Amino acid sequence: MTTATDINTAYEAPPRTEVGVLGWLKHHLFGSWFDTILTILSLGLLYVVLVPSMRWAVTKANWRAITTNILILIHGPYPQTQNYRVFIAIGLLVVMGSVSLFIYRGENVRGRRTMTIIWAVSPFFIWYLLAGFKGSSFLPLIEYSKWGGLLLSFILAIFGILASFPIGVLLALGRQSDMPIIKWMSTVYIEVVRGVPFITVLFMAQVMLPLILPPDVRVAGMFRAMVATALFSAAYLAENVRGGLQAIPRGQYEAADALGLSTFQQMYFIIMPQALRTVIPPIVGQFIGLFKDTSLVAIVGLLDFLNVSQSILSQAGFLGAQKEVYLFAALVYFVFSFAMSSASIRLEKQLGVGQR
Amino acid sequence: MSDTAIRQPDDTEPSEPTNLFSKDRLITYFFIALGIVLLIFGAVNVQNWAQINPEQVAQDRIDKETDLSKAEEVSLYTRQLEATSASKAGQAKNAVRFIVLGVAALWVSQNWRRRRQLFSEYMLYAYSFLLAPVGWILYLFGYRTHGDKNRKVIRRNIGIMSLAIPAGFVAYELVYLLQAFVIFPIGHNLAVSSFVVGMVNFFLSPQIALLAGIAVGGYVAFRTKDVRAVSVAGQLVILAIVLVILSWLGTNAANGIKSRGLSATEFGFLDNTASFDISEHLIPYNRTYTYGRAFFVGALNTLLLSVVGIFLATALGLFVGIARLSTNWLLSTLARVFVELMRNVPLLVLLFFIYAGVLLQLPQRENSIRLLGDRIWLNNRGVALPWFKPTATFSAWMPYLITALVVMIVLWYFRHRTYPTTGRPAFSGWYVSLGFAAVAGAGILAVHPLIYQVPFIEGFNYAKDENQRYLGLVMTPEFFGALAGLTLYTGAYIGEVVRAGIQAVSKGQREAATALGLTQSQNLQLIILPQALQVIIPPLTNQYLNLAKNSSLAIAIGYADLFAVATTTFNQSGQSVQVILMLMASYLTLSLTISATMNFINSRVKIRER
Repeated sequence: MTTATDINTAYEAPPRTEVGVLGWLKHHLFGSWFDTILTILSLGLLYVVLVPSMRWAVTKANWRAITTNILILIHGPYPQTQNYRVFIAIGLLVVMGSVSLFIYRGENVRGRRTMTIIWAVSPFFIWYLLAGFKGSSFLPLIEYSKWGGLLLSFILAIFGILASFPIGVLLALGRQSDMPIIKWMSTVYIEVVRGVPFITVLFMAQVMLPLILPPDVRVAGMFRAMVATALFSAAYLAENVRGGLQAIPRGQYEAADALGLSTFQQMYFIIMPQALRTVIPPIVGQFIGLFKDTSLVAIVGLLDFLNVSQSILSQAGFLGAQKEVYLFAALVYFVFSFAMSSASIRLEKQLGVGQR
Repeated sequence: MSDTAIRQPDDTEPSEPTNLFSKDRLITYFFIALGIVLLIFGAVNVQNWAQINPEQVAQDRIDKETDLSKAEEVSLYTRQLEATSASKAGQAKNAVRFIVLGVAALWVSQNWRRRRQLFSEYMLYAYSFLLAPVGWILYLFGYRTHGDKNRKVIRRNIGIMSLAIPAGFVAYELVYLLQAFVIFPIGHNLAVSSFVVGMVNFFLSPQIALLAGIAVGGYVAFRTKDVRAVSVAGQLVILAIVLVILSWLGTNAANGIKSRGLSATEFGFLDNTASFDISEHLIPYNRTYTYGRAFFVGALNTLLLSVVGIFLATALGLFVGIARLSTNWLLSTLARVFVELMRNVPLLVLLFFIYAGVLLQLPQRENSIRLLGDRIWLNNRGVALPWFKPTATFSAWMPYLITALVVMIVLWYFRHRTYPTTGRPAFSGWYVSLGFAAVAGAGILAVHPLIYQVPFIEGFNYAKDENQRYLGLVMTPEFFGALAGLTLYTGAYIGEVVRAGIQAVSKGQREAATALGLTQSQNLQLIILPQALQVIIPPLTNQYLNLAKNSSLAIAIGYADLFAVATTTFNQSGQSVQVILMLMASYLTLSLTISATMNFINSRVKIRER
């Protein structure tokens, strides 16, 4: 009869090559001769790329190009005497963000509602904080042409996201609609915009907007770029939302009809919540793309983060600092985009996309 | 703006009385005719109304029936009486509607020319042209095909919607009176800024009045809960909004272009001398050629960059996608880091880094970096690779190539012929490739169509052959930078697409194939790939489209692509509308071609389901 002791003795410690560091190495790096070759090649590649770049970054690189210009990178030509307004805005956003983290996790309904109202009001508040008022000595007017740097990139991205969302949802609904005129117009709009590069749309906004508006209306370059961003992004968003709409089974529509819901109620309470939930990953991906695409306004001459970074290169003393400047620009874009995509993955998990 | 929108009392008619069939007069005639027709309709309705005697109709109906009991007789009489009375009331209402519309049309015929200076006014009337017949066709349609119950509803709703047009005009007339006699004088007397006057003019413009009228019509239709009418009304309202906005923008653009002495439809400038240089051109070009030629050169450059980029990015993407799935931790991590880096950094930054940060900082030509035993040259004026160049006898190779293709197809056919009976190929796929290579290779040996060239530096430049072309493949930093940037960037995205596609094939498929005794390569070829391709191709198409569109960013590093040429053309000629139209048309064509090709491939690889 086998006893517990026998069973215990039947288990021997696994071979040393199967567990621990050695086991991990064996299974993940040197599983077969092919794996070994791949590992060696990868190590070689790492050595070739990393070692010289590290050496360059530590010894040769002139990082003062970044450190001395950090204020310009943040807000561009925004007057230095007034730049505390930018930092107040940033501080406000940071405070609001961290407060929301607590409030939205909790169950306090009133607190949540207050926070939502604060978020809804904050864009206007921040806008006037940054723009100021004509003739005011406390908050003097800052022309829009003076807004630049990371500030401008963020304003373009945030506006693009906020404005493209309703337009995109409407376009998606229009394309799904049974009404021929609306379907046709939405489809043409979406396909034309998706068929041309963003830079053409930006160019068009810069060239055509002054032309198609009355001659006495002058629109700052920033607003032209905002319009272009929102209109361009909306077409892509519409396609993403349409994907979500198509994923909704017919039964959901029929059930909503059977309950006697109106078309609007059906969309608002039944279809849209499900459709939008399924397309969170592509929509966040698209917003990341939008944030990256704001760098294109540099081509049409707006002083966004990238353009301001480039302007450093014309300063005496930093003429050859291309690598440093562009690496820093890449790093900044990377940090924000990566943060967004990580947040999206968390959001996805919280909402349980793909599971019921 | 305020001058054109306000109608002056002493508006003079344009003096062109001789032509009875000018566009203006035709429009006037149309409205007169419409008005007369509508009035006739109205008259017919009045006549009908007068003639109908409900009691007589009911009695006639009973007389026609032979065997009716007394109770049935009474019931039938009552029903007929009610129905006919309703129909009589309907006739009366219709008569009123027709007459109102007819008068409105006549009024329009006499008044529309007064405000015709504005392009938007044309649009306005074009809109009413469109709407009135549509409304009445719908009316007749509804009348004919629907049962008695629906007929009434539809008639009423469409009638109301059509009434919205004259309502809009009436509203505009009221607004005009308000503008001309109240707002404008007050505005001037109080010295309000021209902006306020302009805004007031805009919001009280005929378009807005028209919109309001149509919106009211749509709302009424909505209240009647007739789904079809609501749908039609809603669409017309949205169409009207779009047309109004477009007409307003169009008017401004037309005025703006005219005031700049330009035209929006003239494409003659394409024949003017471009007088700017394009450093890279696939077809002969210099600054004495025309704008049209320059545009074509730019388009070819874009095409070259896109096509080469697509091939390289696909290769890189395949590698990255497979590497990410590798069991080798180091390799998959490296691939993942690469993908994350590329996907979270803007392409433009990448392009600038590669171009200005790396390529332009390479050593001078005389200190070029040489790789693989002086075969690859890197310097700040470009990258040179060894390359096969076609020789003069290249065309003689074509027959061999065609024969090789035929051989390949025939071998392919024989290889597959045994599938239905034995379930296996007749011979290995290698023989198919071998057949092609044998014939093509024989051609190479026979006619020497290609020559292998290795670049080297001679004096201050790369060496050239007798045709004044560089030996090997010499790429400018602009082209190479754009190509490298696009390839790395899109390659990362394609890698993700490939990975997702392979992961989408369920593990059971692989296991089932192994259980059936398929070898590793058969497994990949027959089970995994066909299913993975289904998932891969649609997003892959998107990536190709993105690459083609992103190639326009090459302008930032000075590559003379389509967009760069177009902007230069615009800056020199000022012809904004045409340039933008051509630019968009070109990119749309490119996009549509790519997606059509990929759709074709997709339909070929699609697994036919039962």
